[in-house]
Amino acid sequence: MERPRWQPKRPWAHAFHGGEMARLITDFDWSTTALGDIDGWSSTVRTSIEIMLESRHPIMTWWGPEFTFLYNDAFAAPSGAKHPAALGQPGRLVWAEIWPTIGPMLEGVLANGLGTWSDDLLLVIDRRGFKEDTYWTFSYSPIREADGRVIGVFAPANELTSRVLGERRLALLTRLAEISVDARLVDDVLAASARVLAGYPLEVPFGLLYRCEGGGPRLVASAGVADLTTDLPADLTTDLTEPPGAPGKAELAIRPLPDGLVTDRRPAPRRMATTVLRAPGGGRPVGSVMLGVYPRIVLDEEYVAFLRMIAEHIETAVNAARAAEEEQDRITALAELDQAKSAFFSNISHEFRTPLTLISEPAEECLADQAQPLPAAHRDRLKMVARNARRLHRMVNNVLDFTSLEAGRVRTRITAIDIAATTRGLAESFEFAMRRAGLQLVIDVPPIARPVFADPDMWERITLNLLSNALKYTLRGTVRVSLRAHDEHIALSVADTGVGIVASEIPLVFRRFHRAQSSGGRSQEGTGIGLAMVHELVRLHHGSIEVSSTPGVGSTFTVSLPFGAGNAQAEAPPRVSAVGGYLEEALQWIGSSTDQRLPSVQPAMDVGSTGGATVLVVEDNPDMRRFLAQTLSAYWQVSVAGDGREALERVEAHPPDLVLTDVMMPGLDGFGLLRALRAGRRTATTAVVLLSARAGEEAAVEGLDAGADDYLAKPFSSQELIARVRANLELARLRNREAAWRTALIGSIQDGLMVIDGAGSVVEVNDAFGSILGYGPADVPYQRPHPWLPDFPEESAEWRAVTEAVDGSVAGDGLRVTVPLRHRDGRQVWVALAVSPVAGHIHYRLAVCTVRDVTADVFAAQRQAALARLTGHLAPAVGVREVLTVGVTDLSDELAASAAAAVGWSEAGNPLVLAATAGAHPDTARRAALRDRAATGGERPPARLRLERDQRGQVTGVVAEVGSPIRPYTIWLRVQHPVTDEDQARVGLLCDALSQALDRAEVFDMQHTVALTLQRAMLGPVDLPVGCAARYQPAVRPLEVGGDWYDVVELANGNLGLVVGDCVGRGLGAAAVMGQVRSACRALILQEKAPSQVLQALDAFAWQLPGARCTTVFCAVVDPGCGLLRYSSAGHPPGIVVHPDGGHELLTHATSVPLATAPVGDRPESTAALDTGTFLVLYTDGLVERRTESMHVAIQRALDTVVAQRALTPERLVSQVVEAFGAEPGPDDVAVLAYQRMTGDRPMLEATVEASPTELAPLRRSLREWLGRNRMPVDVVNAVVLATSEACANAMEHGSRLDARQTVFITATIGQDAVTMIVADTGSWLEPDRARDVAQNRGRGIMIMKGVMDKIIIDGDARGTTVHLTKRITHVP
Amino acid sequence: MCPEFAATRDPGHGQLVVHGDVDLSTEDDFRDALTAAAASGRPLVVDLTRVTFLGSSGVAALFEHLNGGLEILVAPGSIAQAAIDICGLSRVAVVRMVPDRDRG
Repeated sequence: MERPRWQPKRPWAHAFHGGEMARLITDFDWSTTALGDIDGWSSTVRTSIEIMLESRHPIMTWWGPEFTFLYNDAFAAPSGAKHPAALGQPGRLVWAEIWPTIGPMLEGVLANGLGTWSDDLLLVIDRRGFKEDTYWTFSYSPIREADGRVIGVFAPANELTSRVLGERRLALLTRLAEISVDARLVDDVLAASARVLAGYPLEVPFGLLYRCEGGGPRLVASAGVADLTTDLPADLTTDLTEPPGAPGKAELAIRPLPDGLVTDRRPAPRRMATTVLRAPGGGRPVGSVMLGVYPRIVLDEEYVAFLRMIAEHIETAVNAARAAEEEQDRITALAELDQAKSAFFSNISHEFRTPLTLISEPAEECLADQAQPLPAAHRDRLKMVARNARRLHRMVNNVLDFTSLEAGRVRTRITAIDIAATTRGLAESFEFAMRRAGLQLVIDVPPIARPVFADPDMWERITLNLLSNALKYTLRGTVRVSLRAHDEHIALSVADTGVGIVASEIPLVFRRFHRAQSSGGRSQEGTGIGLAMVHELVRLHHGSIEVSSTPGVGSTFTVSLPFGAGNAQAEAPPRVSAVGGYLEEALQWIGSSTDQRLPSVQPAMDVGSTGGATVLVVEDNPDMRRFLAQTLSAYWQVSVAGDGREALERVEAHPPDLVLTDVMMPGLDGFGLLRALRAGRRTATTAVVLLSARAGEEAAVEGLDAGADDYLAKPFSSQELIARVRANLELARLRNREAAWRTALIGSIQDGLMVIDGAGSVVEVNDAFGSILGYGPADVPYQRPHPWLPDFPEESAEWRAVTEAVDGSVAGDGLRVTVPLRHRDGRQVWVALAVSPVAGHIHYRLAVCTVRDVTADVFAAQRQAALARLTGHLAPAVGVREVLTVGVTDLSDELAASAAAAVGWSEAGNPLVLAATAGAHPDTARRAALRDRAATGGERPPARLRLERDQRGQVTGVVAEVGSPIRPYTIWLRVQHPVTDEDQARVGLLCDALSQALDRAEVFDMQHTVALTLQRAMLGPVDLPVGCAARYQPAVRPLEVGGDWYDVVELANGNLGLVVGDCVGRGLGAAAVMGQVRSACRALILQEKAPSQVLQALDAFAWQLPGARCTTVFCAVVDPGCGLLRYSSAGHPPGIVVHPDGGHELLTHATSVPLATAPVGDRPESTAALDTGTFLVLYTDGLVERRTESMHVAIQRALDTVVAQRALTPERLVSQVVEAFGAEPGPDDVAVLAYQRMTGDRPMLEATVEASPTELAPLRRSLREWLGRNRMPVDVVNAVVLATSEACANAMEHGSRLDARQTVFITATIGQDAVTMIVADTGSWLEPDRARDVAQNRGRGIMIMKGVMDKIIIDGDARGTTVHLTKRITHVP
Repeated sequence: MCPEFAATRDPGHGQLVVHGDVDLSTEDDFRDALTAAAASGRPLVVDLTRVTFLGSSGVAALFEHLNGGLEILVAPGSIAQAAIDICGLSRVAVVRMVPDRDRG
């Protein structure tokens, strides 16, 4: 709410209105302060304080040498406990703690009038009972009194503490968050965390990081700690055994520092925050942290929350590292176990051998005993014993063989083998067993002539192992044995139509002790070393083995052996074939196969916390779909879809926790479905498990590459399916919990936040973003071009940089920009954006961008900048017109106005255009001002600005009133665009400043007028003796009066004293001194002293009068009778003497120092002779002092002018001399005095009168008197008086428009037979409408002049008009 | 100091008697006096024999009152007479030469 600044009826009402501070200021007793009693406050003081009080921005003002402190309501809060006692107190007392910083700034402003600007300045202040780090942006601007004196300091200030703290805290947390990505060990995490903390001593002065293992807490890392002789506080240790706290919430305790903890941080922290780090979900303690509390920041909720977040970040990183450590431990343990297992088997097998032999040998002997045959029943039993003993023996042997092989203890015995015959024989030996098992054995082994060099025993084992393996895992169908010879090797392949091997198992089948986990073969028995042994044997022969398999279709093992080389004649060693053993083993499986049970009944599985989750099954095969649904529905809520497209519809309606999908489907296949799910924002994190008949690593990689969470190859067991689904559900749940936490975190961030993807679309925003720009989370995504761009659809360079920052090309800390955007409601919002590309995301490029509303800051800065600009421009402007011109230009720029003007008001209420920009037509401006008067009824409405609108409501103009209510001016700006509230506020502020400047300008103008009048009064006689003429011209800019003077003293003896002087300084002070010096000088001359004596006496006078020192004077006394000139100069420029014949000299022979500068004895004096008609011209240095010209040259120029113009009257000559320099106004006043020695028979009268009609009668009187004294006839007297009066009246009325500051010069000369009059004015133009009116009268005046005089000549130009009148004297004795 | 300008109505003859100087500084007063005197409706008689000065501005004021009939009394050889003559007022108004009583 604005209200009129001034109550019109009580313009100087002494109360301030508004809030608390207005009341306090009004009630305060100011009489003892530099400001003095409130009733006596100047308009400057009042206006400054009013501006301060009305601002909602925190503003202080400081006054006088004590810097008496005032502030507004907005500053009361940041003042803390200083408020309200600070009001009216000396700044040094209020702000003692920061006075060393701000004191010199303020002193500087007061002393030099130069403002300051401080950005983000750290000030340690005491406002809440402790020293506190605060950050400020503020400016100090001088407040000038009307006379230009700096009397106070205007200081808008913005506290940025919470922003600075917020940024630093965010930076610290960001760096902590990065740790968990890199560190794999808990100790590393803690050390890295300590390093981060060490970088932020103002946030966390010190940190102690403990790890808890079995033995209790152990200090791992610290930051900022100099000495530590204490353990964790007892209760914190005790805490480790306490029941877990709430999950995910670090319990934080604030406590004093223990005695044994010494930090090297200054200021020393006195408190610390401690917390226990726990395993995920609030589990057992894994560590603890102690964080120092920085003492110069208030420990508020935010700080506590920040410390807690530090602890939580460390906790998260520690737990991640613990998981990694445990994983590593498991791997190490497994490897050790593996080795131990090998050793165990090896050892135990050895130990088995002896007892086995002692079992089997007697058993065999019993059976072989023909002498004492066993009865049939015993025999059968014993056969079983022998068979199993052999079997056990074989297994033990196999283990031992393999461990020997593995240990490299087996030597091959290479002989030449007919590989085809050998292999066929081995295969055929299995024919019976195959047939018994219901399998067809196909032997495709053509003869091979070339022998293969190999160990026959080992080849036998290779072949038999593959055959028995095929038999074991093939329940029906065919086993095919093929042998082929290639160039350098033979290839044996054994292909079956068995259960096959899943892709993930294939790399494992040749590993020792590995047995297929999922397949259903004939037996679960076996040592699991068969294929591993084959692999080792083949390796010993420098061959290779490969397997290809399709689950449910079959497997093919292919062994390649090189033909090799060796002694073809070498004798094959005797050996025992192992065929019998393998066959016996195989027949065992077949015999027991009826007992084998496939896992038709699923074991009850524990699906843990995933129970109740939803699973969508996508499968085109109805049988398979039914099977999957039945299997899974025991544990989860299952829905089904027949293809990808149907699945998407279901997902849209009810997003499941997991999607289990076949890869090969008609329409949208599994991969297509996967892509669609990943592209959707809501479904991007849904778990997806692919099912495929394609086994093998590549297929799995392809699936995972496409973004699948898992890949399951057909066939698979029910248990496997359930286990995989369960695992993925658990993972997804963890992930989603993380996402939910993240959403909550984002929502809780005070700053706006948006996430931009690689295409520049904003895919996520938080509520704060919505409140800043009006575009909330509900409507995401926001595509380019974004709706908040101010110049839609053009993107600003900054904004484009923001949207492009996602590609990660922004280095380091990312991008920080401040850009103007448009709120949904249309207003302009300035936001500071910090963009951080998210590194390493697999599927998308993303950037996270924080958005902070800095509109108020930016606007305040803009206002300050505008104010500073205006103040700068106003500095050299002194008069009202100049101030208005500056104001109009600046306001026009500020609002981008196409035209602007300032209108003042005449007494009669007519608008006068006083300043305008190039585009402004005066009439338009006048009409706008009149409209404004009409609209406001002459009284200003509460709002300072008035907007003009057309019929459609579009803004067409802005009208403001500036100045005081007594003398208002109307500012009019033509704008063709919307004007925002901020624009109005800014322009309002500028108008305030302009009003202040106008107040000063008015005072200046008035003072200047007074000073000029005073100067004229003090300058000296206007009625100069005959032959004398003088001119005084004040300096034009800056408009001040000086200490220049001239004087002509008529002495009783007929001599004339001629003086020109120049006192040091400007303004009224110098003028006052000048008046005294002039009077003293005059008095001395009247005593008929010689010029040198006059100056000597003035010396003594000037020593007494401080301001008179250094005054320069040229003093001359002339005897008009004989023409003798005596002169003396006190440091003054030389006088000029020009004779009628053009001869000339400079009076330089009697020059000494200025008055009262140095003790001088007798001052010098010299003389010059003046002929009749000779000119003496004296002047002050203001005439000849020019920046562009040396004084020497200028004096010569003045001399040349006098020489050239010596035919003129003294009056005209003076004018010419001044004009010769007038084209370039100097910085100083100018006084010029000319004297022409006249002969006695040519009486002359010269007069200078103001252009005022009241001057006419006295002029006529003195003219009549002078003419009478010179015995002129009455008709001549009447004619001359009438004509001269008419000429003067014309000059005054038309030439000078009755402006009293203009003058009219009259020169009358009585010659031998005529009286000659010269009437000259300096007038200029006539207003056109007046011209017609006066033409008649002026014509009549001229008619009269012509009628009574004998000759009349009128010369006129832009600089003035001169009328020459001549009247013949017809002597009537 | 005598007043620079005065205009009085002669009670006997209804004439407007003017004293002092009539110039730029007094022309408004002179004009007002003429207007007031003319308001009586009778022909205007202005006695200028006592003016010490009369310039073109005074003549201009007199020209404005020709309509109702104007008679001017003026001292011969005076400044006023010269101004009236030169400006041609004597050709449109009745001008009577009356010796200046003060000067005799």
